[in-house]
Amino acid sequence: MRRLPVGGKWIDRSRPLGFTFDGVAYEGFEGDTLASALWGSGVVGGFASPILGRPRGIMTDGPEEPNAFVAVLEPWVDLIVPATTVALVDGLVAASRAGVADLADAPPGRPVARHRHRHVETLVVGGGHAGVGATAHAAANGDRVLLVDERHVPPEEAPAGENVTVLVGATALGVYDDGYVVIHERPAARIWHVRAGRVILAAGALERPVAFVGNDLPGVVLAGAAARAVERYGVLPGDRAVFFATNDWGLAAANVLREEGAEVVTIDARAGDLVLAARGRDRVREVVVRRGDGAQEVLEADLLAISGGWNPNLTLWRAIGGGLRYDEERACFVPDGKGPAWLSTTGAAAGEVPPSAALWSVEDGEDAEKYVDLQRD
Amino acid sequence: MLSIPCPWCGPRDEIEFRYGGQALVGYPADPDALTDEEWADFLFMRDNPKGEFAERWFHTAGCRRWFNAVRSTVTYGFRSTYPPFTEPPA
Repeated sequence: MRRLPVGGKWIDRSRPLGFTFDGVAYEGFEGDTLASALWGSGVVGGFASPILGRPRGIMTDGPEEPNAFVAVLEPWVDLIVPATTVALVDGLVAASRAGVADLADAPPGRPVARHRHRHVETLVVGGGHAGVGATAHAAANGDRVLLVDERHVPPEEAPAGENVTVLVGATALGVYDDGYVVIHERPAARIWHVRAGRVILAAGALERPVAFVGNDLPGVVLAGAAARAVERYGVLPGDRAVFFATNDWGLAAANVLREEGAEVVTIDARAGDLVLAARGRDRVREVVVRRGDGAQEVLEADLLAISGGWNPNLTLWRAIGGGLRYDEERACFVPDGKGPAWLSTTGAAAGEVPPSAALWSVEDGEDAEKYVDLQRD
Repeated sequence: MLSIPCPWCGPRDEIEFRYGGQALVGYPADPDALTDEEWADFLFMRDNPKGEFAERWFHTAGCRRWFNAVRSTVTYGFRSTYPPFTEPPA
């Protein structure tokens, strides 16, 4: 894990920021998350599982992060959040938390709840390509549009205009009857109550890991997170990488690292090749591979990137009773279109994800050594 | 939270309203003629359909007026709301 000399479309290299993690001083850049700054500083592990204390590292680059929980102590207090969702600021002080917060860090006094109320014709959840497209389309029709995105960086190419409001660092927490949506904005701790005529869910898709022996070691990351580390933050997550994928997006992510000069081996599950185990004491050092013809080999690696397919992010769709159907080709659940009339999905959330082999777990090895639920061991 | 279309104020949040039970329950023409059982029926017994149901609602935190509604007990959705003593819109 190291910062590349150039690149990273989300960071501003002219603005270095100092921060402290577990008592050690590091440096990152404006636009980093705490997680990307740790990767950029060469921190591979740094975290532990809550009960067994197994070494863990950052695995994803979003709110789906299962390992990298931190308490933010300065300049604001957050008792426990994923490091992947903390926007880096100068003087940030954070400490790792093994899945359990420490209430002693709670600030004295009562928290101040700030509420905002809005009425819009169209609310778009998710500022990716699909969400930005939906926003532009609705704005062109004269709608008042609210676009919310939980990342801390404004969406690329988001349409500007009097009737478009873009809210970043904001998570839509719940969707209720008749287009009523509750949104949490960070770090201002502001709650937005939005009544929308139409709600468009463009929350993207979440990459799935695969269960195999040692899949919880630091250095085992999701393939998309590895590629985005390069593209967004100019961080090369590994110099000798193995990419284990069941789908084309996973293999495309490997090319991003290859272009930066990393030595990359791709293991395509669709061709019958499998990763049987990741080995190493405190981080990935070796990857055991079995080829389709049965030949086994051990590869030296400092990064194992996995892509076990993609799940459309449909938590909000399900919460208000939207229906699902199983898509055999993509090996995931996609919306079946049966939901409230004012609610729709678009983009990857609507099921526009690549076909994938249905591989949840590699058969070899003991189940007890394959970590399916990283947060509960 | 439901958005309830008050016939006088327009759509407002559910918390502004009070529920008034089944609509169109007429007061008996001659209460003295009723048996105890029939009187109890009038006082306490209400329909409980699965599907569309005629209800009374009161806009407590708004115009403070009563109105009638036809609402589905399956989806909670309002089909129509209309002033009392008028026919529901088709």
